[in-house]
Amino acid sequence: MPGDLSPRTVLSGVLLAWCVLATGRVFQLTLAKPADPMSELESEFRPMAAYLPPFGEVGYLEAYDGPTEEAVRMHYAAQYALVPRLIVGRAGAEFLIVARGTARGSGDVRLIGFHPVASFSGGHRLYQRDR
Amino acid sequence: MILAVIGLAAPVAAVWLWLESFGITDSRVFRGALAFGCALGLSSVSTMFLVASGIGLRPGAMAADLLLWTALAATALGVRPRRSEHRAPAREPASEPLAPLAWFARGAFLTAAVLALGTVVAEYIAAPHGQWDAWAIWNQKARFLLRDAGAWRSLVEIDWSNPGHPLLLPASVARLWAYAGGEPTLVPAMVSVLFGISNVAVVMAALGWQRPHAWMAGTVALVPGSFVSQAIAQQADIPVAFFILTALVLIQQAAGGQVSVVRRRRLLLLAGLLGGFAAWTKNEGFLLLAVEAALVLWLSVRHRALTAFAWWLLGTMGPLLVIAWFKFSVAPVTPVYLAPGGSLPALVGQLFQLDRHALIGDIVTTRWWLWGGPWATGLLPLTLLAGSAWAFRGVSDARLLLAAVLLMLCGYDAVYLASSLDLAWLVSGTVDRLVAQLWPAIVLAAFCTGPNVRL
Repeated sequence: MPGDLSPRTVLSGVLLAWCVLATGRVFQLTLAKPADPMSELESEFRPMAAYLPPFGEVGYLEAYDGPTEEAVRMHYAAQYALVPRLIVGRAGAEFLIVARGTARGSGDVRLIGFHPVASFSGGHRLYQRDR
Repeated sequence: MILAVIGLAAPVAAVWLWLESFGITDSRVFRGALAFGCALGLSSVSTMFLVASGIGLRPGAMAADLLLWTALAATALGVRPRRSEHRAPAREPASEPLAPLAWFARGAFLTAAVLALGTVVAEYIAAPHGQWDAWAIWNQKARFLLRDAGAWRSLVEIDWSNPGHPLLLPASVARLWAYAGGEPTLVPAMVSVLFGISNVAVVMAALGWQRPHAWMAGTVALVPGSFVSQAIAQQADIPVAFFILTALVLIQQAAGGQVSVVRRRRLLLLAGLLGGFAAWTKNEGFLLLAVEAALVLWLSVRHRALTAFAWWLLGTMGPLLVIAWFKFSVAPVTPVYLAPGGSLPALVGQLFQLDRHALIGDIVTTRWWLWGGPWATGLLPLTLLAGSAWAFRGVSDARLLLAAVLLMLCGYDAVYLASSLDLAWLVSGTVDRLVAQLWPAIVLAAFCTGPNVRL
């Protein structure tokens, strides 16, 4: 009833209306968010588990051009997918994961002494140390 | 997924019944929230026992786990006072017919809640594995605990996953995954969202459902996108926020003038337990423990009952023992943000460097003003101002909450100053999440227009 509307009530009403609009704006922006790449990356790395020992260290070839956010995410995704193995950024282990875009295109000297074992969707490859 | 829900419901029901037996609270909403938080805390400890002892989270172990919680629930039913013996729940003051504002507040809350739920669902669809830290830290640790009880200690060897962060959340997720018989992303999402919902529910319950400002507080709590998106992020900040809020509400209740000695002891015991669970969730929880200790000590002196402090301390003991085992035996590592960057004189020098204070002030001022996302600009300072206004008017509950928030902020500031990491990077990367941890308590303080209802 308009007669009951004190300034405090009006102020509270304005605050609530602002709150609802702001919550709606957050919802609208969330709808426009692109899909997070982790689901895809995780499913690309998971099949490697069949070729790897159940635990222990597995090498991971760091990005040749340095650690971009994309490269870091890919390394973390490999670790997340292949737990409880430890995916380490060095080539000392028996197996070496070469994620897409990490090796130098025209032959990477870091792969000398390894041979490819399998290729996976997304362009990732698994190498094993030469006997 | 249904089995995971059963795995969650069993300890929640057991703790609910025990809380009812001890007459901790008459509010079903508050009891439900407490039961949820305590159940996850306690079951995470039993899960770590299974993992650390090498038994692992196998189906047989999960069946025993279910039996244990069922037995605990049955025992609680046995000792529960009969209905006739049970004292009548304290009723809130009879409410007048709802005024237009009350209707509007309820309608606004329901609309905001539906929109926030929509945000949560949309976030989950876009990122089912959660935000960056969810898969780089929390869910990754949960996978270590679930997949191989023999190799789980390897989780501390991944330097980017904050090896020293405690395991309440990963152990809870691993346990529910074990019930589910797989690793559905819905499990950590469910835990994350339930913590978010519990935060809002506790704020509203503490203010009294019959009062319009409880519904207003709930609406305001849902505004910041930074808070709502954290509630589905599958990270540990919203669980920490929950433990901070509930521990402070319990201390508020214990500080009331009409509280019996026995009830005060029980409330403080539970506050200590929840504070311990905060520290078992994330390192920031240790700050809460320090703040709680100060508040409870003040309370004990005020009521001339030093035993009250002893009861609080007793409550912290269980979680602290588990944390001590984890920190000293499993992951004896200094957190990266505290790693010594120099000598003691250099550290002391850092604490008093004016340019470091100025840098923190600059970043925090800007980020606080913008915190919450689009259209929420200024909400955080406004909410803090509202809480301060009630505190200056002598509302003791608002004073207690703001004192706790202020002490927590001082603690965060001290860690920033002492850190050897790049200060601008550290502050910028953490300030939003740290505010989210305190947001429910800040909202509660802002709407503490008078004494809160007895819960």
